[in-house]
Amino acid sequence: MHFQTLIILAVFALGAAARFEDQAGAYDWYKQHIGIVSSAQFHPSKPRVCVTTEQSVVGCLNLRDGSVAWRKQLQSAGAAPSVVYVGSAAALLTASGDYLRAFDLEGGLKWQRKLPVQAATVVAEVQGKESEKSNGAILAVQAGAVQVLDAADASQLSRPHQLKGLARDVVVVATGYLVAYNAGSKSVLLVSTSRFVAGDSAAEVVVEAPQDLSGVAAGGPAGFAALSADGSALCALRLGGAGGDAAFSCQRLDALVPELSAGPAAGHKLIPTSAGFVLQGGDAGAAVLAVSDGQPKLLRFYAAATGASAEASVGNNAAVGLVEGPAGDKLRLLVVSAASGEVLQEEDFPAAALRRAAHGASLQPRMVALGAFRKKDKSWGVRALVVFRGGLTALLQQGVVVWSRDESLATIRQTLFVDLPANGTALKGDAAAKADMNTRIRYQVLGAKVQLKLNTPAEAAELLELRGLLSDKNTPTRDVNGFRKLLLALTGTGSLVALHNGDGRVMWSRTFAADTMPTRLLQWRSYHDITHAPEVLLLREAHPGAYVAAINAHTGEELWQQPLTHGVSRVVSVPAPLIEGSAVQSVYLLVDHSPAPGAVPAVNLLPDSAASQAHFASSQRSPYLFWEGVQPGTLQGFSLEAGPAGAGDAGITARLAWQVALPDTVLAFATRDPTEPIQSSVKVLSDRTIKYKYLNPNLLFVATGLANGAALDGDDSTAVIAHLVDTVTGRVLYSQSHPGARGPVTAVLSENLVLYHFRDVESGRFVACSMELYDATPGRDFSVLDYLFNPNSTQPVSSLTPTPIEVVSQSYFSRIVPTGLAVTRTEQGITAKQMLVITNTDQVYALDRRWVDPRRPKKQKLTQDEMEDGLTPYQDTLPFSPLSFATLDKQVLGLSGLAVEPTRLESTCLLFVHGVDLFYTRLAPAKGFDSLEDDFNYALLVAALVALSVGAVVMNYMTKQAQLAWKWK
Amino acid sequence: MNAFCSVLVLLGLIGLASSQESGVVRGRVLIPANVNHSTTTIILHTSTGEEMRTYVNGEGAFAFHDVPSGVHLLQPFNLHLVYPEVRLEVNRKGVVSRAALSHNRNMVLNIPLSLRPAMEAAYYEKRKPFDAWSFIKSPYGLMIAFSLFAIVVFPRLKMDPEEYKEMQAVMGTGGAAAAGGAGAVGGGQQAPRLRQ
Repeated sequence: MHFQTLIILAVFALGAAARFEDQAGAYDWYKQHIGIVSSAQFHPSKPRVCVTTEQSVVGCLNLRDGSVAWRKQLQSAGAAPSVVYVGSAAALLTASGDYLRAFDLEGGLKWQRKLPVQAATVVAEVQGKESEKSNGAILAVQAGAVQVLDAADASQLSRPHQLKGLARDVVVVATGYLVAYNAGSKSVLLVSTSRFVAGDSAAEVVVEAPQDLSGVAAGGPAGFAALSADGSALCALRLGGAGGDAAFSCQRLDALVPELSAGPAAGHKLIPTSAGFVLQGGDAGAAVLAVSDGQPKLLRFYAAATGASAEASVGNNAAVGLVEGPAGDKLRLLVVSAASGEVLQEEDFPAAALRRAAHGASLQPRMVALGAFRKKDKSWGVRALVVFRGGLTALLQQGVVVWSRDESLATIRQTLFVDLPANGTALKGDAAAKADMNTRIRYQVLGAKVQLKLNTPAEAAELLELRGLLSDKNTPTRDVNGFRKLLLALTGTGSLVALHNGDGRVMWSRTFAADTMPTRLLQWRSYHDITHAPEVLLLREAHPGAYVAAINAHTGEELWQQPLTHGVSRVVSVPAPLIEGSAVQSVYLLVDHSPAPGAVPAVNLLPDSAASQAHFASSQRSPYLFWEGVQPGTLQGFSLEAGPAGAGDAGITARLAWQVALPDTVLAFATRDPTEPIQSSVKVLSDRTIKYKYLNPNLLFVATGLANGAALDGDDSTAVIAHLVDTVTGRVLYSQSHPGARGPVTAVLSENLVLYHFRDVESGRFVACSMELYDATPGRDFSVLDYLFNPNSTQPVSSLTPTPIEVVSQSYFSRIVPTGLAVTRTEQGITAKQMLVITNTDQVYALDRRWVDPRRPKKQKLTQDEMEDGLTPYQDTLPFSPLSFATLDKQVLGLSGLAVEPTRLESTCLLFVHGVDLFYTRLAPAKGFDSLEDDFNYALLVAALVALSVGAVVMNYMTKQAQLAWKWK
Repeated sequence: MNAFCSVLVLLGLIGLASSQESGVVRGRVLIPANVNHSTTTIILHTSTGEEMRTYVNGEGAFAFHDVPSGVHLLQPFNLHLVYPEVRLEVNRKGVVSRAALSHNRNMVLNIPLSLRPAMEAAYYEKRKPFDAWSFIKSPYGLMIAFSLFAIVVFPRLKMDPEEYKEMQAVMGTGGAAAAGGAGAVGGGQQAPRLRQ
């Protein structure tokens, strides 16, 4: 085929920060996760367990070590998919978003179908037509639409049905029937599934329940059951038989299961079994119920049970697994017969290892899956996959915890880098043992061999191992270069976890209960002296229970907590922090804004002290708030005014300053990071003339265009328009239009550069457009003498008297499809920047800024001046080289965010990428110009010096001999 | 009757010609033997700005259903391989009317699509095998080479014969002058000895 052009294109690209293969893992680590397991199914033949997770991942784990055998993400926005395992077709069927997919158990996709709408879907296996019993028929119910599909190839077994009555909150599949109702109502709709399969018009039967039903419901062979809305009664519905005799019977829970304390229905769980149901009351125990003649009957109550599994067959018995505990140091697994309620098997597991692995999070099971296997002596054994509330997932088998995975880290929402303690007192980490001299010499020799390519594969592996052993990257104290940091992560499971950036191990962790779960992690207080630990702020916006709390970043200890009386819809940082002695205190504005038109946001200062009020009032540049207004395409800006000094709680008032109506839909925003370091405000060209960068801190980039998903009109007149808006005055400073383009748009604004991506409709390709902004005030000169000695020579730039802008712009096709953009950041901002492009394939591509320089000349032969400016010839497509991926050969599944942190070395910054997976690396956008590499080979240097000295001595001797011989002549 | 039959045949032929299902894009992703399909993803960017994703089965085959009409971009992905992007034109009947490489529309692909990788994705720079010349060019090599040059070659550098003579002469006259001076100061004992 003719792909050579592409190869040439790719070879043209240069990897600025490329690594050698033997350096893999030296500065980076990668942790593969799968997410919080929501359902599990043991593989019928292989030692695997196949799971789906709340992060919308489906995959299989190896039973021996818990490693990921395969996994696939179903949709980018995380939500647990509805899943069913079809044994006859050996397929896992998932319904997520608007897609129905069938996977074989090896990770191959059998088929996929688009569902009519993006809404919750219920999938279930139903009995197929009599003639086609070998194939499982699948019922997919979504917003009242019912489809019957063949699990093997997704062919429609009967025509789709549309039943408005089925569009209810709760849809449960009980044997032979679909049961649908709205939580909190009495009216229950029953539809026979056999009618759907047969293709007949379905008969709907409405049954009135004696009480309002809650969403806690289950359907199975024994019929349908649901808890009443107040949680006091269990209502069972007998199904089957002739159509008319479906009837509800409700029994009070205190009569049915006297031991189970009555509580809100939401804390309970109903699990269907072949004989009845298991009613699990949170941590209050589980009741095994049998249903006979439509009446539930208690078989046995297990008071200590904290988790219950779905039914599984163990030998000839249908059984459920109950987890008891943890009580003391024991976690007990009971295998209980569904028919009799008696204990068939019982095993104890040590809880200490689980407690360690959970880092202090509670060991309450949230999901249990039971599987049976044949032991060597032909008896039946059981294994259980237990998912705890904190996200810990463990496999229990034969009295041991086979493996455990902490999946809470798959739900990271926000991250923050903080400094480690200056000495090792605060953090007791397992620092690498000091290696002896022989090991060090061996390491150097191996390093030399690898560098000269004289190594064997075993030696390369040994080198990697020794590098880990000898490296000081895992020491739990800060280093001179600022490479070692503590990485704080706030997870969706409500934990604040501190990771060491050397290897990603957990230093400490703090777990919050569901009703006190923090939603934001912010910088709070750092100190210039090394004796104080930095403090971070946790904020919970949700009412009731909104609070702010300060946490010691080195220990995780809570320093204070204070309830919030007002709402918080956004948090704005005051650009300059408040300096209090040796402490640097961050100041925030908590904005409470209702979307109603004409509403004025209420603004509160945090911390609300006299010092911070004075700081805010005296800050040189007060921040301006802006956001998209009620009408799409409208931007609103607010100015903030501090109350009179000393007025106490006068607070800050916000006033609507401007309003801009933009054509079309807003597709993307970008603002400059106000703390971004800028080394130079001018650019010196090769002819020694000076251009002033346009560095307005109140600059906002807005891209507008046709909304995503909207169909094009016939005339194809769509355009993406880029606007530069001043957030103080709302003035549109500049705008440029890209006809024939549409979203999605991603944008980043750094220094005087705007980079944004959009899509060209005609070619279908993605386009990157870069804009460099310069101050075009006429007659502006630069004099070194003025600069050095005349403090009045600088010219203030005001938003109220705007300066003319000169915009240099250029567009390129991009092979990378971005979903987000960021930029590297170094201590002083001297190092050339790289644009970090988050790709739609869950990678991060580091694009040198020079490739998107809008001044790239459109000719192959460059002049001396252009070469001196570091320009490269223009090409219509941006270079693409796998060497430039910052994530190397890793895919960060479900990539949701990244954090860049400068180090004290100007050349280097740290990058942490999180999604379902975690990836950390060290970036040197312009290579390590200010330091020797960590793996610099001293052995070669020493060898060269020794060889030189020996040579010098030998030659000295030889010269003397020669001179002597010559003198004797 | 005859005419009716021919109409039927014609209709059948038309049916065969448009046997492609409406709104379906099918294809196969080819991989070399040393790579597996675990990371293979096919992403279709539709003309409406939406993204459709699918995975492949064990054989590398994939299918998109319900693809709207318009110009779409098909982005095949495998972590260890680089695939070219494909521009798909789906006509109003929902049939793929043209598939071509997006960076060069003259390269038309057959339908159903057969996607071949352009190259392997090399995420790491390859270390070059040991090469004496590159070692010499390295700082170590240059240090050693220069030192050897200094030690071995400098002493053997032949001087200009005239310069050498001149130097000898200078040394000779200097020596004689020094000897003469010494003689002048030290009295007349040395000169007679020389004469002897």
